[in-house]
Amino acid sequence: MAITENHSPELRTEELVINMGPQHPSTHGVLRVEIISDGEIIKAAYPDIGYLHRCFEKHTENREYLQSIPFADRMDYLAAMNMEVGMCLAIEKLADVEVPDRAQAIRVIVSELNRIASHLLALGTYSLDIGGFTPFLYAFRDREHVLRIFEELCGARLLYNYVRPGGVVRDLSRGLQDKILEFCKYFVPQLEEIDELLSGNIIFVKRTANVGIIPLDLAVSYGLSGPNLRGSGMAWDLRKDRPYSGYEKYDFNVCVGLAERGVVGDCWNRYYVRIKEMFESVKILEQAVKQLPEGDFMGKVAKAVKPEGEIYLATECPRGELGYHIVADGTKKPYRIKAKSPCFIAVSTMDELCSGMMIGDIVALLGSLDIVLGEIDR
Amino acid sequence: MSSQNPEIRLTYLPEPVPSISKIIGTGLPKDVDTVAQALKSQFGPTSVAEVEKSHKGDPFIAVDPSKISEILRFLRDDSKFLCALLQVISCVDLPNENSPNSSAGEGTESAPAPSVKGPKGHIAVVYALWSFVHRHQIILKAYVSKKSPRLATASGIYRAANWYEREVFDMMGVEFEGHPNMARILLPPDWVGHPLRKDYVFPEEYNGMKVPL
Repeated sequence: MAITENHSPELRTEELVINMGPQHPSTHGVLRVEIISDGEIIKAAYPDIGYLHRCFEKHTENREYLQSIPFADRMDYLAAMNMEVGMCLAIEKLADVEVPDRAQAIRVIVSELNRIASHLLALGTYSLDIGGFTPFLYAFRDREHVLRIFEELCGARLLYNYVRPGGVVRDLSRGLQDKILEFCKYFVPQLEEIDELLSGNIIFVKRTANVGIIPLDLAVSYGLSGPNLRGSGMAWDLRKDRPYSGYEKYDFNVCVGLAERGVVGDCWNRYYVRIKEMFESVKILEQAVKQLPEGDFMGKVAKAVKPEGEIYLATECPRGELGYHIVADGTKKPYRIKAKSPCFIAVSTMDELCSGMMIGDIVALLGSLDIVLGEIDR
Repeated sequence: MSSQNPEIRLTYLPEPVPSISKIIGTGLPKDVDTVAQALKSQFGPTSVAEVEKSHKGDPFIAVDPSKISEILRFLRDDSKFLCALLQVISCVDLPNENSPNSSAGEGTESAPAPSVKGPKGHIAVVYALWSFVHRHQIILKAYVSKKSPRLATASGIYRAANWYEREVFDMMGVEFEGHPNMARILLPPDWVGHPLRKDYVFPEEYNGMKVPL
């Protein structure tokens, strides 16, 4: 090792095993990483998951479809709406349920609002990990506005149980459309301020640019998706490339890492893809609210849906491609539901990425992957 | 708030990045029969067991489990398919030979419920593949017997397979031969049994702690 060469031969160094987590603030949940380090250099890092395993897949086998939607909420608790939308789309496709246009537009609205809330939390906590306290407060202040909209919409702030097979459970309350438009108008300058505060900040750039580089071929082989894949330079967005729920009607761009700082695929580019995506989400929101069609918010659907068949359906969540593999046997209960979690795969890259990294950078890498342990462990 | 340095200020310019569909076009629409035909001509007629496309969901191709790694490598590298992305490896515990048709064994449904497709007494391991170039999804299934659930690993072909296979092993007990680290991933290493099997019996206690049900 190059580090030991400068020391006298009597001075012996040895490998040190460091346990990061499970109760570590920058692991964003209960993730344990076993780090084998040689001085400041990481030789190997083994992520250990499963601390938050709540048997989601086993539970759903003994429950009706409607009852298993709250479990989907609790997987990625920071983007619960997106989790529900994916699950309901899969059930509807198997059960031949028609969804009214208004319900589809409402689903797009809540998904994009939740995407903004999730990305705000991601970048807020990321800046906190790196050492910037102010953007964290700004991000949480703005996230609060989204949560208030959700509270008015369905009564809950975090776990909604709002999207159901056939539509949504409640129509937009009176005046909420204006409130969402007001929020969009308010939010863009705020986001520009956060962007100005953080993205070009020299300390932030030094900590994140050129750190934790995931080349595109490696990212594809690992099956990364969402901002992590787009940060590596692939313009791949399921909303654009396999549209669902009427996303083809809206005009928005797919944001990829363009190496405004650092190189494509590093932590900074993954972070900046999220900033760019929030601007695009606002664009979708404005279009969806202004074009919101009249009509029913819930289609005609039996009280207990009885789908039949087998499907793998993926939707674009804030953290990447969330897929549901559902095997339905024509009864009220699912035979098997398997959720493909984008964060699960994002954590599995750590083993390869971390060797040779400095210990301080592991926090920068982990935050840029934007993992949620509830979704990894299910 | 004036910026510290005008050069550092990053205004977001919405540069239209063409998505892959714009660059390459919609590509070749791949229906399952074409894929099955290509697999048959490459690996012999026994390599494809059946093509399921009668139900409402996605069509599946059931392939010979002993050739799974060759088939995955072929689908990844062949210029007609180029499935660069392994989306997921899932697994389904199919009903046993002697079990009645009903799925959960509830007894509430008196009418014979339509059972799940696939050979009885087997575990279906499902691979969902996606090609960025041709924009098609191919879903493969390999049926392994519950008596000796073994399958060749795909972790050398797709890095994503490494953890997915560990999860399948953890939950369903399918062992992947040649996997670098075939250990449990979500459950503790000393856990007994594979919980997503339909005949799994819930333990009363674990290491002296009562297991809440």
